[in-house]
Amino acid sequence: MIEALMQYEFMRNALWAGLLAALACGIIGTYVVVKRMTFISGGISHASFGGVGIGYYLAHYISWMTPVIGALIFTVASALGIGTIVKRSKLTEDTAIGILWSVGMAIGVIFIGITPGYVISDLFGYLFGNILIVPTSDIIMMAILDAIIIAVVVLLYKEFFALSFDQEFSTAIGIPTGRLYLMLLGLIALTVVLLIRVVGIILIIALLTIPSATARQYTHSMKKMMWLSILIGMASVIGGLRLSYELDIASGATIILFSGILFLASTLFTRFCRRQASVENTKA
Amino acid sequence: MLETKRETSITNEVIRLEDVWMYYDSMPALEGINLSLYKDDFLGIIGPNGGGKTTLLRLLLGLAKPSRGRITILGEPPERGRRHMGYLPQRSLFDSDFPASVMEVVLLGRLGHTALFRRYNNVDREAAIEALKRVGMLEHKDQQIGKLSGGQQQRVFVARALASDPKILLLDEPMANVDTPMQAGFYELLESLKRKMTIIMVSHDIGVVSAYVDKIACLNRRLYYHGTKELTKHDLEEAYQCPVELISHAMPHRHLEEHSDR
Repeated sequence: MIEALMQYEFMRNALWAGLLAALACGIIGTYVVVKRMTFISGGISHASFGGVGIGYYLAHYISWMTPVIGALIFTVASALGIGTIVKRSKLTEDTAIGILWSVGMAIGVIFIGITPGYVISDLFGYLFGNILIVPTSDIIMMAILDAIIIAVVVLLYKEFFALSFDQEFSTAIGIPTGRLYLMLLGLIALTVVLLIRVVGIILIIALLTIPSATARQYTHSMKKMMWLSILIGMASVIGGLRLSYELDIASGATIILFSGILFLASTLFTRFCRRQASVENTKA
Repeated sequence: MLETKRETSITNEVIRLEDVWMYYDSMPALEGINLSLYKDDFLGIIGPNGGGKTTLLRLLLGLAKPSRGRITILGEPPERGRRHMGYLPQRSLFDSDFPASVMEVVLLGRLGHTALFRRYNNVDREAAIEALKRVGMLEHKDQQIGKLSGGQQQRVFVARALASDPKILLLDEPMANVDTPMQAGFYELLESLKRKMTIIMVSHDIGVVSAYVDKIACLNRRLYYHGTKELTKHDLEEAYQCPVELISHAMPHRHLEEHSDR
């Protein structure tokens, strides 16, 4: 694989895209896991397909438009929209997510279908990811999105911590939890856009949860959990890419499978350690 | 003589509610509440579920505005007076797995005092350590919060309320999460805070409230309060004058839904 990295730009880009995605995943995935936002993250990521479709269609008419830019605008808007609707109306959150999830996908399917001369493999690329065709312009955008995510989380770390730990108390002492929650949804939307190219819309939720869920087994500090999830995510990307290159199988799915195996191994390992520890204790 | 006494009592007034009414969808939750609390008072508020206890606390914390009437906290409206308050919510919902240490949780109490975008500084850390000492939990400061017992967690949450160095402490059903063997120790803790700040304790447990507080009020939409410092038989009878629901407060009753204050 190292040879291929030296030789081909597409392999270098694939690796960069994967690492940049793992960075955002480790940070935002930690919030998704500790604040139990998996379902809403699933909704946001599937809704992003609507943006991909609109961008794909409009790219024929507007020069600066691409599916990823379409997804960026549409996903952030739908994340903020769903947050506001749930807050202002009597709709329960899971119902609202269900609607967002499916309507977003439907919009995507229709727009891709009416795009003149659409290619079916493009559709598959966005649904299941195709990390091997990430252009340099997308890498630059991913780096910018990462920078935004890191900046916001560094600046608002203690507020997001308060929001995740105990929203009711935080509201009571005057923290603008409503706006912070919307901001967190916005950051999830940015992370989703970062991940579309790497693993595809359908598999995004895996990279948003698996590395952080694995990291959680080793620490009870949120900061350490973020660092560890980033490392686990990067290991999954490198390992998955290598495997998919060697075996010539789908890269996004291989990355997910690799991280899933890491999680399983880690769960068994920590269980084993705990059992050993309790055996030691009973002996002593 | 009377004049000067009134003067000092006015300057020492910490909380003042004047004819406060609160409606939810045209259903009154609070009716014409008048209340004056002075420095270092320890007031217990009892009343049935749905009697408006939570609503009253929400108003004091500035989380809701009264439909009518005026509330002042240390001469300021609640949204501003809130920074002088420490708050112990009825229950803190979090995963026992949540990646947070005791110290990190107590530091949350400082958030009302730190600006957005700013990190905790040494003043914040010292205040948190001081608060942990007061509740006797300093040795646990690096432990994961979810691994502590219910009673220990409640102490940590009291420390979180104390970390902001409050002049007023609001306790919402502080005994709800404390297992019976731990309760005596917890009351000792409350005893040690007495007369160091103004304390309002809301509870549906009359026995518990009357044993520890200086003043007692009964809330069932209206507030029955006489500013009594001692609990004589007569005072208690006065407090019990609130409608019959109170007497059967331990039993589920049909008024629960009607008066639901959310």
